[in-house]
Amino acid sequence: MKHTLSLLKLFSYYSIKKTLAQPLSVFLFVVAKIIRFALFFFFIHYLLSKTRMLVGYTLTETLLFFLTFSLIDGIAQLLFREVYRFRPLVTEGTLDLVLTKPYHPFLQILIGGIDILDVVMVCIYGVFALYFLRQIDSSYSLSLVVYILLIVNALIIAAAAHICILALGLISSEIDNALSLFRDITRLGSLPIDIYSEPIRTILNTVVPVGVMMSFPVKGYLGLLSIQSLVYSLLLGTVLLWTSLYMWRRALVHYQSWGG
Amino acid sequence: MWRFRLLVQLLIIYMLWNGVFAHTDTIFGYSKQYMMSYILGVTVVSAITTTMRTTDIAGDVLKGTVVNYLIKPISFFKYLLAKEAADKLIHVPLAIFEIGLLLVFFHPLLYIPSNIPLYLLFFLSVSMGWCISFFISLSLSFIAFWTTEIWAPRFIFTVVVSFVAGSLFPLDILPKPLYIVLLATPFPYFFYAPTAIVLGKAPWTLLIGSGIWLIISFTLARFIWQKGIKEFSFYGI
Amino acid sequence: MDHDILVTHLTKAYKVREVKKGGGFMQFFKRKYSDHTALSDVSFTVNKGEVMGMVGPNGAGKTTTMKMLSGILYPTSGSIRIRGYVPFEKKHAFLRQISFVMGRKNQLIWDLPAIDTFRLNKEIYELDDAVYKRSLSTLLDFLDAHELIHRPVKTLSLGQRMRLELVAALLHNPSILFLDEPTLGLDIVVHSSILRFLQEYRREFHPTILLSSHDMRDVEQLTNRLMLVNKGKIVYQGTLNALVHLYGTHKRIRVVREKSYVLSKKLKKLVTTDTFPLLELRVKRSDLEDTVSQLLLGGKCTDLTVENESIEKVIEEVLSINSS
Repeated sequence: MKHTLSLLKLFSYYSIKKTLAQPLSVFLFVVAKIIRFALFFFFIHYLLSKTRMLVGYTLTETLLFFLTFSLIDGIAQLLFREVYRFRPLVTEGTLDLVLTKPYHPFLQILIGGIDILDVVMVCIYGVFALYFLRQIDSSYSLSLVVYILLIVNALIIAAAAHICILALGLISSEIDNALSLFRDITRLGSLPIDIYSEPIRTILNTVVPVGVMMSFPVKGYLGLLSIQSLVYSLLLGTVLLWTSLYMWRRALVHYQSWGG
Repeated sequence: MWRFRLLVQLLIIYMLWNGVFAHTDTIFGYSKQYMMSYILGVTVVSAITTTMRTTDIAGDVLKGTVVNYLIKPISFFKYLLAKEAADKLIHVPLAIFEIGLLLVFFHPLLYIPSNIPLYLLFFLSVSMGWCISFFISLSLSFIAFWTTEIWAPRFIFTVVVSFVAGSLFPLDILPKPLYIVLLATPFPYFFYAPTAIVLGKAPWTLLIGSGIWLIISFTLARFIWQKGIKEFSFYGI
Repeated sequence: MDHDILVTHLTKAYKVREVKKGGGFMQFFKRKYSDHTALSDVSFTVNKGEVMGMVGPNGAGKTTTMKMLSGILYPTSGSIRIRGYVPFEKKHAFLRQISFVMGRKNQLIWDLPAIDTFRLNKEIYELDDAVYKRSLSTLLDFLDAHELIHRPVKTLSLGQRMRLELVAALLHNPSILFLDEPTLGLDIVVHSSILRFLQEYRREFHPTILLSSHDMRDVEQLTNRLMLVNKGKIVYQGTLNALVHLYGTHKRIRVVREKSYVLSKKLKKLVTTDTFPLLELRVKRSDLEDTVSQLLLGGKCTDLTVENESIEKVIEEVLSINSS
């Protein structure tokens, strides 16, 4: 375990070192992401300051939904940045060299590529989320625990999705579309999913668990989630993770490698 | 894939406005009918005026393949406009199809103007909007002549446009001073102006603004292009 | 016999997507797959400390074999045991003992200096400081690469990169090496220095090596035994000498003659090179005695040598016999 952690630290260190090789690019992207975040934030703020309510949620609550989404999305991008670089790794054959090393390949291809840009953004989202959490009187004592638990669960679901994408990459190497599909669908969770009318809402709570990922943490914090829903979400996260790991193992058996 | 992303964005913004109107009848003076019509209308307009192929130019300049265009006998700008038009032939019908889907699923009440001259003004505004968007985007791509940092500025541009060009909300809901400042930029004329005009808003300020920016954007693009090819060292070749 | 590597009836079959020429639009919807057998019923062993060469045309199955032996690919059938381990299970205890070097593929981190990759490998293989420092300096000495390790890898030439790749691959002193065309694309000078390095390394550490190469120098100077692989099958297994002996059907005769020498008409068709004073002939082994006596009848020769057929030619012949 200790060995795994120190390896992870090293991978992260070298990954950041690589991104810092182009400081201007990093800076401009940080600026762009901050602008995008700020603009949407102020738009929601401005809109709801006049209308007061969105499907039963106040301005503060709606902003919390948006911030929680940004936080989860931000942490997922932070952790799984390396998956975006998987396709060239496969097509150039370098993946083979990774597979012959005595550590679990996920250490490198799943979480081995954190980006300083993402670290900055997650800190910003975190600070905002904390501020708004305190604005709302939580209805019960464990609310913060439930909130954090469901955020971790969301990240587990995101991990499962990324592992499936890696498995897909082993078989077909056409994963860039799958990645954008994932990002686009999760974006549906940037606002409380109650805004979607019925068939979509149920789908987002089950088959495509965006609602479970993005809306449940805040709902849990506000005391709107039943115990059954809580258990259901955690079970869902575990099942999805287990399934994705199984798919990865199957993909390794069918892996044909490139070159040679 | 790009279309899916646009569909998701449409869904989110439609549902947002839908949800907001669940509690009140008018917002900023607009009825739900008007707002939904605006959102769907602006989606069609953005499909018409968004330029997609101009981003390729930056890549061409960086790689040096832009030389191929310079040695062909046709005007570079005309060639690009033709490529854009071809692109539109696919994307505009798709956008209309997506809106059709939305109509089928959600049956929103829409406000459809019946005043024919309005459509003529709309056509004029949308054409100008397309050209302005085209030339501004082109100017942005041309910074590739001077720097390899082309993706971050393009990203910032896209992000800003998605807010201040009116694809999420009609710009006149903003506080008056802010609205006036925005009218001095080219962005409202991409999406907001044509949609507002066809929905009955007084067109003259918007049309004049479009006209002015049409001239400015064209001159800017031409100027940067000429300066660029003079100083360019054709590095990638 | 101490078998390090034991391969029995190994087969690997792929499903390859068929893309017909002029196949039309429908092929994007109904994909047709055909079976392609990369390796068919291959069996061999490699002993501890032995260097086994693999020679064969491109697509013969050499790289596929190595990838299965190192755990990357899953065998369709058959078994592989390396020191008792099943490679595909990728047990860390197994992976710590091996190293895979592929010519032209990098394990070095592209944007950073090689020293960063070395430090990473130190951590990956859990080498302690003393062992790491010693191993690193020995390898850098051997390969004369001290000044290269602080420059970003992307700024180095292919030859320089290859040397550093070898350092990275051998840092943990693996006792089983898979070298897949390690000298591909290298210029003569670098190639020779790497060859010399591999011989030294072998003398010092006695690793078990599986080496594939198109270059006969590698085969001659490094390997104890070799396999000829063609179309997924092993067509010969054994030593180089035995190969030449068994299949070398011809001999080469080199003659250095004087001005007055006259070549008999009967021998003219055996000549491969004729640039005065040198004369080279290629003759069937069975005709050797006759040919030599005839040659000597032609006049004065200052030198006459009889050599075996070149290895390339022998291998070429064996492979072409077996591909029909």
